[in-house]
Amino acid sequence: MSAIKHALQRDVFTPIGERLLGVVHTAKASGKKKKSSFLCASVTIERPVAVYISKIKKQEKGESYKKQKVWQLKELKVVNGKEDKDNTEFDLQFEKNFKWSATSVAEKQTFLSCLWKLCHRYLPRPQKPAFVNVSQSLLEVSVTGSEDSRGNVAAVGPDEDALEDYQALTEQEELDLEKMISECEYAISDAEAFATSLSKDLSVLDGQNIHSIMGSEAQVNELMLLLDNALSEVINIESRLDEYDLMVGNIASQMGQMKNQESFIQITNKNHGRLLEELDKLVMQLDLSKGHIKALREADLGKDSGIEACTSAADALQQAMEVELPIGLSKLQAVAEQQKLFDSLRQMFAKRLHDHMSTLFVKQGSEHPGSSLARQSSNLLLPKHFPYHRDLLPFKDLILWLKLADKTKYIQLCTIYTKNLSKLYTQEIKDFMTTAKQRFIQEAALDGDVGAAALKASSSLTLNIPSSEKSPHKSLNKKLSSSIRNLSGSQKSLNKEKKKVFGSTQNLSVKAVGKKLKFGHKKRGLAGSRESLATSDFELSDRHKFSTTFREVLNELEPTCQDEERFLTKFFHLNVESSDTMLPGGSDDEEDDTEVGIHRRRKYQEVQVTKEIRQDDAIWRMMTELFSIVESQLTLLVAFGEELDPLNSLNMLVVIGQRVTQAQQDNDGSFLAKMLGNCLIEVKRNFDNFIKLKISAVEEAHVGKGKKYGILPFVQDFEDFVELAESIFRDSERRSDIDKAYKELTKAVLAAIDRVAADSPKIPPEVVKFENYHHLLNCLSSLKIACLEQDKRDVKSRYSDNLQNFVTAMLGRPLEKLSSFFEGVEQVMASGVRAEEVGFQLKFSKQELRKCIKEYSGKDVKKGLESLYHKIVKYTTEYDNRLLQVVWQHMQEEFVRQYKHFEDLISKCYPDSEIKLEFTIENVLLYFSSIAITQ
Amino acid sequence: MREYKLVVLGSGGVGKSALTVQFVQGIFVEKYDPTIEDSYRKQVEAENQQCMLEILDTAGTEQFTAMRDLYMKNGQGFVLVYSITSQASFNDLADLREQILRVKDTDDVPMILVGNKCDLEDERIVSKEQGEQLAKQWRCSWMETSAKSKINVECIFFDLVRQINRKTPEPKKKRKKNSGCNLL
Repeated sequence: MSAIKHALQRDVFTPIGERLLGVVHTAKASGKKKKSSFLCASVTIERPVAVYISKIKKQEKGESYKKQKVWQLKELKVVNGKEDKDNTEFDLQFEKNFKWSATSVAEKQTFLSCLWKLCHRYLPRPQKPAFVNVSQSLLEVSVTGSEDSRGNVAAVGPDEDALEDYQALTEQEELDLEKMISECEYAISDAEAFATSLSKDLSVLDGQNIHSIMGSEAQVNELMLLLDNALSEVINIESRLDEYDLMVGNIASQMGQMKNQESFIQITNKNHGRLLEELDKLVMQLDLSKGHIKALREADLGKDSGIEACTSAADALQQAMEVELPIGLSKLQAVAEQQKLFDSLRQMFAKRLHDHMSTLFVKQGSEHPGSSLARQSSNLLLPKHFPYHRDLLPFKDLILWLKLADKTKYIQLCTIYTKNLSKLYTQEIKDFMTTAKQRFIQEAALDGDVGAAALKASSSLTLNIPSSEKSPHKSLNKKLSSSIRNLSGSQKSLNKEKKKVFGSTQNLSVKAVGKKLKFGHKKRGLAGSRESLATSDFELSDRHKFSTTFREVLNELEPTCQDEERFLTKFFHLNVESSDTMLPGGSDDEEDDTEVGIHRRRKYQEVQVTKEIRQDDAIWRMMTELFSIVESQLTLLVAFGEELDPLNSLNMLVVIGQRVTQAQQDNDGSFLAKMLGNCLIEVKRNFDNFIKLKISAVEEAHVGKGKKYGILPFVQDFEDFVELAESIFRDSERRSDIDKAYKELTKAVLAAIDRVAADSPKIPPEVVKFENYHHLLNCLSSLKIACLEQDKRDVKSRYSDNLQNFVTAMLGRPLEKLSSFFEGVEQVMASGVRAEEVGFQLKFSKQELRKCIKEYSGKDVKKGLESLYHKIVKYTTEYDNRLLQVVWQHMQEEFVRQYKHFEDLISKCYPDSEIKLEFTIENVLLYFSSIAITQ
Repeated sequence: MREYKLVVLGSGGVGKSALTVQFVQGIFVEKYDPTIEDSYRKQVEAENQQCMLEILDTAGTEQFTAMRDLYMKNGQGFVLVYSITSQASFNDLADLREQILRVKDTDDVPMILVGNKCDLEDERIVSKEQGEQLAKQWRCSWMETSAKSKINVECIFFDLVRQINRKTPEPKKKRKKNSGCNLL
């Protein structure tokens, strides 16, 4: 049983903080199945004490217990013990009556007594349940079991409150109590006596207590005294301590001061250090070694070592001057002095450099390349400026320095350079151009010489020249060649004399020759384009020479300009231009009409296209100044070439056009490219002019009376021109230009052919037309010019039309009477007469027909044809026999066509009449071929 | 017959030659061939008068810009062409105009702003508003054209002739002649 109790205590009650006091194993009396459970009485451990009666059931499985129902002890109203012998049943009435039966009587009794005790102990009287049918002995037992404690409690006060204040006695107290009670054996027997003895004891104790209190007063006083002493002692110590404190405080403040002072000292030290450092730096920065100063002052700029020294010195100076001093530092006298020194050094050196460079420039500029000219008179070469550049390039760092240090001096230098070098360049380029022109003339002269000799054999001119041996043209030609020979001779002799004079005279003579040449051309043009095309015939190779020479000129100019440009950029450091001077906006406002302004403006426009050109602003200005001569000279050269022979425009157009497109592709913004662009426009204008002149020449062309027409001169000229132009323009970029010219020219030529043909008094216009068209067609077909395809077709149709017209007109109706007879027949047929019935009409009877036929015997026909042939031969020119044959062939076809037509009609209208012409087709063919062969 | 010297200006490839050739010859040139300089003559009837137009088709490419001053001096009316497919060509015109005004030394020069290639609507970059705006700012006429589809090609030249007539009425010489004819 105790095991169960223990287990219950452990499992159920300890966790909820209660103590199990009684337990009984019960089974419910009512009901069939006896449910076994435990009825437990428990008390909370903590106050206020509450007593519970709980029904606990053992779980069927395992050892755990479960609380089924809980009542408070207060709720317990009646306890019915059913006190018969050996009855294990009992009732507990809470809100209703519960019946229980214990497993054994003993258990029931223990539990009931336990309940009794609990009720007695914890419940106030009115709430106490009634114990019915419970044996008195049980209740008694429980009362006696707690007699001592109850008695004790009663002594203190049997109050209900006391019950709540009840404190369990400690063991010690219990022992003391028991001891005391045992001492007074009589206590129980004689309570009164006991009380008295107790009060006696109490009063004794009281008295003793007061005694001891009284006795301790002296001691208290003593203690007080001691305390007073101690207090005064403490005050003493405090004042002492205050004193110490004061002293310590003084020391502390002193210490603080000392600390401050020390940090001051440290700061000063540091500052000193820094100042020193700063000064060191400053001195370092502003220091310029004596060697440098000396170099700046007196180093020889003529020597490489001197230049080197100066360069490094200038660099050092620049660095020293560029040092950014903190504000205020410049007020230091030493610094100011140093700066002044630098300034003067800079000015001095800048001046020195400036002077040196300008003398150098002047020297270079005035250095006349006399010796080189002689060298070049035969070779078309521009003197190279490489040595000059090489001489100058060591100075380039110094120039950079100058640019940074002294802008005005730098600009001055630039101007001096351009001024002097432009002199040189002008001279050189002038000479060069003269040489070039000379070359051209020499070639032209060569034409004259060789022409005179070789032309006898050569084609067209020879045809004309013998007939006009004394014509002004020929004599002019001769004069020309001789004067040119003289010229070249005089050139040689003059070469040894003063060069300048030579240049000018040469210029003059060249001009004169050019004019003469031009004059000659004009003459030739007036004399008739026949000659001019003759020249163009044999000049084909010379034209080639001209273009190669011209190419050479450009080839020479190009590297010179480019070298100079490169040199300028490098030497004057134009690419490190500070950006402010070339902001595109800047040049906009102050636009001027000068060349430079335009260039600058142009520059500006190009800036938007390519960035590279951007920095060229300054270089542009310099280049334009340096090479101001180039443009005019180039233009002159172009004009000269044009004067020499207008056809040269074609060459120049191609050559310059090539350059320009090349430059365009390379995105080359160089000076020369621009120059060439200008030239190209000039050349294009010349070219346009030339074409215009040619067109107007064609438009105005007419043929002198009494002359044979044949192939018109301008047609021949056109052919030659196209051939030549093709040879020049083939694969050129400027194809479209010549194409345009072709078209216009062709148009003019066609119109002119028609016009001239119409004017022709003797020869039928058709002959003129078809001959010329045929020629043109041949020419165009052989050249295969794409843009003239359309015109070619046009020419072809014109040619065949005119040929046909001519044939019909010439042949006419060789069998006149027969033709008119059959015309009548056809008319009748057209008016509705049937073919078979035509023969019955009087007018067109077989008789009549026979009469007509008789008139045309084979012999007559042949005679007629022969005279026709003669006529044709007379009309057509002898230049191309084949064309005659073609015409003859056409005639034959036409004749045969007529013949067949007659036959056809005869067989239709006069069937079975067996009428035939007196000659057969075979006869006709024979006539034709025999005539052709005999002639 | 009065002669009018017209100059066609603009950046490279905007269609100056195409416009000119279309006007003068009625052909659309498909192939691009940078022009150096071409001049054309065409007789037309404008404002009930026979006129001889001398049209100078200029180079748009940068290389040939040097001669501009010269023909600007000689020209009476200017066609400023841009391509509606290129903003740069539009922007370039401002400089050209400035140069014209500078050379002519006057603010009132017969001029027409022309946006060419308007058949290429898909590739349009310069809007109509932009063109109109610029023309307003410059106080000149403005038109969008297409040399390819023959839109407004003649109008631009006729407009210029009108402008020139308005600015400089026919010289007196001719009027005298006219009056002389009346007397007869």
